Amino acid sequence: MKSGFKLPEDYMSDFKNRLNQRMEVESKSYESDDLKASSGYRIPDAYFEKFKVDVVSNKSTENKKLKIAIAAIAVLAISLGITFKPFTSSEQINFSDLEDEQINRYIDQQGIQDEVLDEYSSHQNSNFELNDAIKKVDQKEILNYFSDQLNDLYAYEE
Amino acid sequence: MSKNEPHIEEDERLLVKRLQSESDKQLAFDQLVDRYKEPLYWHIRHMVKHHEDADDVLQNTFIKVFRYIDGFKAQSKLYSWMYRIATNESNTFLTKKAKRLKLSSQELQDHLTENLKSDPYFEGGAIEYQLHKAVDALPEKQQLVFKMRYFQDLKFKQISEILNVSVTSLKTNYHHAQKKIKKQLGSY
Repeated sequence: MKSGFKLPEDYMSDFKNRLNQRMEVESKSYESDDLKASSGYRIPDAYFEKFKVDVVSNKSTENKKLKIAIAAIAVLAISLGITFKPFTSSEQINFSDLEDEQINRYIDQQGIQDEVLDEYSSHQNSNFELNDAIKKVDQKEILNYFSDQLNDLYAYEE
Repeated sequence: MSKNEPHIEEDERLLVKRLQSESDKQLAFDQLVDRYKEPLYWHIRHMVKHHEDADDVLQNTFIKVFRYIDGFKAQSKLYSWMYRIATNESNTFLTKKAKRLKLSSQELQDHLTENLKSDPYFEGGAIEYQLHKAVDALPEKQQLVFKMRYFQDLKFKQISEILNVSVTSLKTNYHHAQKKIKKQLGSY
């Protein structure tokens, strides 16, 4: 060649054999079963078929949090002896509707842990305005309620 | 017909048909490799410069050809389709190499040419070395045209089919490339 390049001896005559060997190796690695085996990773049966379902249930987990928060408020209100009437949007109930005295009395008797009510205060669109003093209800009571509600929610959605 | 000029037309059409058939694919592929390994090797070698790299890229090219031959619609000639794959594979290889060595594409060309001095598969003297340096200095398109015409003896018509560029444009590019190279090699 005019370029000055040269080839190793027998390069061209050996090329096809080397190419076939490489293609054989590559074709094996393209078979999906072999790919799984070579990585060492396994997945549960039908994982990808169920994957979409899992995404849906993850979304509903967000809804669950909201439902739980509302349920907790409901149990709090029931504990305080307040009964709700069905209400329209113009009649939405607020914590400010509760008698301060009733709340204070309950707080004095039971106590509330801050973290239990974080769920409520983080909910931006809530109409509930939490009074700092409310954050002292018996944690065990609420957690028991959460646990029962969670069991119910999962049972419905499975 | 030069020794690097691929066989074409009817023979090629039959070969494609066999390559796309399940029963005859492997045999036809062996025939394809025998026919095109050498012209494709030289095309790649002039782009990547070093033998080991050219060997890698040539294998990748044939693997791609084998993998995608079923989708080949014969809208272009088989050899021009294969040359395009080889060109793309070479460019991809060079881009990755430049990235790995943290060099610009021009710096990589200089680096590859510099390394020819110690390459056991380069037997050129000072003139050939200077020729490669002069080719490196050309714009990318002129480089490609010059290498295909001068080193590989491809006809302008063939280059036109491979690069999908008019023959007139190729001749202009080649003319400019030749002129620049002659000027640079003037002292030799």
